[in-house]
Amino acid sequence: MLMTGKEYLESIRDGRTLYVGRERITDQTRHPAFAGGARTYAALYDMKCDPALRDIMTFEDADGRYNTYYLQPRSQDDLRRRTRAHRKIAEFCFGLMGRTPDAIAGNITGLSMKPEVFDAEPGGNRANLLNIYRHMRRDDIFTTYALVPPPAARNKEYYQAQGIQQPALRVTAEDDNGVTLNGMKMLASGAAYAHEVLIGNVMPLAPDQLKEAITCVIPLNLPGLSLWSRRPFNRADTIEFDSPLTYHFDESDCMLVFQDVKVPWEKVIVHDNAGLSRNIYIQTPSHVMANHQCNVRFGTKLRFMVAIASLLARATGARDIPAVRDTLGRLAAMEAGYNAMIDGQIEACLQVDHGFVLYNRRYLYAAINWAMENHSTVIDIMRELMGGGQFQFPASIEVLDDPALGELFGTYWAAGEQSAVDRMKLFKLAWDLVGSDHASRATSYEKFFVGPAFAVRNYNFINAPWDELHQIAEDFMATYGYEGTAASRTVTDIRASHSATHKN
Amino acid sequence: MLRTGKEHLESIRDGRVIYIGSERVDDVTRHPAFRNAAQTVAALYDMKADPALRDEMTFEEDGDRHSIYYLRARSREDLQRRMNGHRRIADFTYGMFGRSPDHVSSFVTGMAMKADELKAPCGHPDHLLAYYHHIRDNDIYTVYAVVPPQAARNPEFYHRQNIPVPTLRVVREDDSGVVISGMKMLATGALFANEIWIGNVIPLAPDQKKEAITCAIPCNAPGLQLWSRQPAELGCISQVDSPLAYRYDESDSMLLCDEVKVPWERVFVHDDALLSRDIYVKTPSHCFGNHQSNVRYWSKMKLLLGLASKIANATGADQVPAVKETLGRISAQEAMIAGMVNGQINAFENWPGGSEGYVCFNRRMMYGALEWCTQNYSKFVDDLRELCGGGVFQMPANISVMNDPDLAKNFQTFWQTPQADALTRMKLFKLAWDMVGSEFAGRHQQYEKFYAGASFIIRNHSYRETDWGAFNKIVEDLMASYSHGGAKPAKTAAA
Repeated sequence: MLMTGKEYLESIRDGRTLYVGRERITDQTRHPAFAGGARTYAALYDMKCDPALRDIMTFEDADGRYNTYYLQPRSQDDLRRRTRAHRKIAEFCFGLMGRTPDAIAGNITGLSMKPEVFDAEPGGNRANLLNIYRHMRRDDIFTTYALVPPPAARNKEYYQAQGIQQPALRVTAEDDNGVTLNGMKMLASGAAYAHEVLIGNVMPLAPDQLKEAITCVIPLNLPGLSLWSRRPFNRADTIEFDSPLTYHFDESDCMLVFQDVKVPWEKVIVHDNAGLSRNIYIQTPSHVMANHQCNVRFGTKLRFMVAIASLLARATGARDIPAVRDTLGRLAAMEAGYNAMIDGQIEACLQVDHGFVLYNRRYLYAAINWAMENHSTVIDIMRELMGGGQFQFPASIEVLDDPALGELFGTYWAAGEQSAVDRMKLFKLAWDLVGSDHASRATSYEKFFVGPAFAVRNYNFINAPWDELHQIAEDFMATYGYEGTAASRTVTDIRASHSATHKN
Repeated sequence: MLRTGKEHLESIRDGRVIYIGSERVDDVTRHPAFRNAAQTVAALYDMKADPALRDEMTFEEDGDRHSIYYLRARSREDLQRRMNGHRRIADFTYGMFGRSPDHVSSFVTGMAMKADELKAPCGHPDHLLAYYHHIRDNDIYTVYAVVPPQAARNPEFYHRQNIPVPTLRVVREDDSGVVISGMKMLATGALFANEIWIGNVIPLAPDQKKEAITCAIPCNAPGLQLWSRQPAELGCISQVDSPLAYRYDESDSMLLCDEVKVPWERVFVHDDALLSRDIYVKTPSHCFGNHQSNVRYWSKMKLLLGLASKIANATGADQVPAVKETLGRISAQEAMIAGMVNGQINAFENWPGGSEGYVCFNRRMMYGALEWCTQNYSKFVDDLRELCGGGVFQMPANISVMNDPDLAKNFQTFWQTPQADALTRMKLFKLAWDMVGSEFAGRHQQYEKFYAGASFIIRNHSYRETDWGAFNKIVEDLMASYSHGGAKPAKTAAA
């Protein structure tokens, strides 16, 4: 059953405990800090229901019609369908919202494609996982996640020595009904807007961190759970024209604080098994399925950035200066190269268990690494194209409300054939992409949302076929020695050796 | 005569016309968008007037004491004193106030050291010297607007449409002075200053005579409007949440002049497009002004380096080899700008000389530093961003959590780490965010790229000041030491 936007908004007015500083937010769909984001998510729900997009956004199974991002892919075409749906959602928010409903849905769908991982070790619960997958799919649930312990948790001895509570989330009691959770987990982007949250561990735990291994999917309004928001970027007086991206796309980030939160067993999928709590993402398609959505979103954002860069260059009259054309060409190459990495993941897809297929894992991690390393550079190039333009515009478009000021503005801020209002609109938009708080949060997000750089590089390291790569060099070295001259190889020999080692 | 902070604040409550969007600001010293920055400027005036800093911040001439940045340098020591004065002002504002009162005053002082470049009939050296004495003797805070609006780059469009070109120009003149109308940008600091220098630091076409006007007007001149960009201070919930934006938003304004009268004695260049630009680079003006920028940048680098180190401490990453390497790299960068500032003094030039024996900072080294500063700031901010990780977003929306006992207890319990208590961490990460991520930080990244003009303009300064003949000669001498024609004896070590 697909929810409409209106139904979605109703469903998140669920009494959750959400704080902005000390202020308790009772209805995030109407509060100025969150209303804009809520409207955007609601519009996404409406878009998914649009009959015209039915074949892109949904698929039909034996028992009903569901969002495409719950499709378990059995062919390249299925992967293409998933990618197309991700792209449609990403385009709707110009790639500026990372935690759209298709993100964690990818994680859970990926887990459901290899559920035996939950049977292989004690503490996993395959039936619960599959029920959660079906529940999310059936009820059109928006789930976010919080999979990282707070930084403080890295040093347990300190807390033991001081005799104070260690802040990382863990199980503090259990009984026939379920577990009781206390502590903190981070960083739940989108938590102000989602229905549920996947709690778990994407970074490895020490084997003895049994109680922290808890992995569950729970509603965000559970008693005892509070959401501590970072500073929202919208205020009561934010004007769409002045901050068009902030206005619509601040997805929120929250720390989650648990105080005696009771979670029933049927929501628990890993319990008391530190190794398994991390491995479920890596040993199933989960991590790849979810991060493909990140790739598609970033590729969409990159297109938006290149478009604005080009319009800025046109507005400043610099577009045909050779150095500026060179810069725009470089940006266009970056965008094309990045989006090629996404298509490449489908073209070189992998066959996995149970007849499922998966996006090419190595290409996916390469794209993640590329985005992490290059986003700041693209932003800096855009800054240079903007020049000081942004600061020459009045504080707010409200100048138009005063006829005398409006006339002066129209006269003096026009440039050639571009009207003052058109120029201001473009520069304010560009600033919201490169310079505002909202923009800067995105710059940090693109560096860190998958984890720190070393973690991203480690994914690339562990997935590289080192033996095959070594073989290329070793085979070549084996063709010559120092004593005498071995017979020269023919071109055919060399090709044969290469095709034997190039499987990916 | 040195003014106190209180006197300065009084002096800028003068009826000037300021707009934030469509809101007219009545009193810049009390308006919530500007009052804290106004207090910062006042504190700078008080610091200069502090008897304990008398020798560092002031000098005596013509029977009175003046701010040190009006000192016309005659020796290496004088240059050193100027630098020390700039540094104390910049340290006081952590390099966040580019247009502190020592910036444009240094332009004027440098120009006054070679006033005869303001050649008759279009230049007025006597007016310039009188203005120098006026701002020095009355401790005036002057800023400037020396760039035409972007629109002005395409005058044909306006001629074709028969509408006025928006750039500021002389529309009339008579025995008492000139009348100017039009737009000029971008007067950073104007809201807190007393006067605005209007001119052209980017070359004009020779026929742009009426735009060549170079003059000074008070910030409350009838017919003048100041249109502010979005003030950063308005977004501040508290000082803990936005410590830099709270105190150090120096403001940027567009100038709109509608029939502003300027008496002749405040006109320095009139009707000469080339001269209106040359006065900055043929006198020590541009070098003195931008030396202040170099010193200010250095102060900012010190804050940035300290923050990088504190953040690495707070996250416990300071002993990770890769993080130590990053800290070492930022430290090297801070030492570089320090070295470039000091090198400009050590390798000073006996220029413009003249009967007074004036001297100047080494121009090429100053422009070298300027180029380096504008090219590297984004990289430093990105380094700091990486050290911060996601730490900033883990902090509560604002410090008001401390006002609710239950929330405060949870905050102190859960947000503390072995390295620091919750409140200290929050203070540190919020400060870092105001340096890397806030609207205020975004404006600074843009400012550091563009305050001295686009990169081709900055490089052109280096090109102009380079003695190419000397460099060419190095190569020519080397090539002359050998030839293909047989065995010229090899150069001996002694030769």
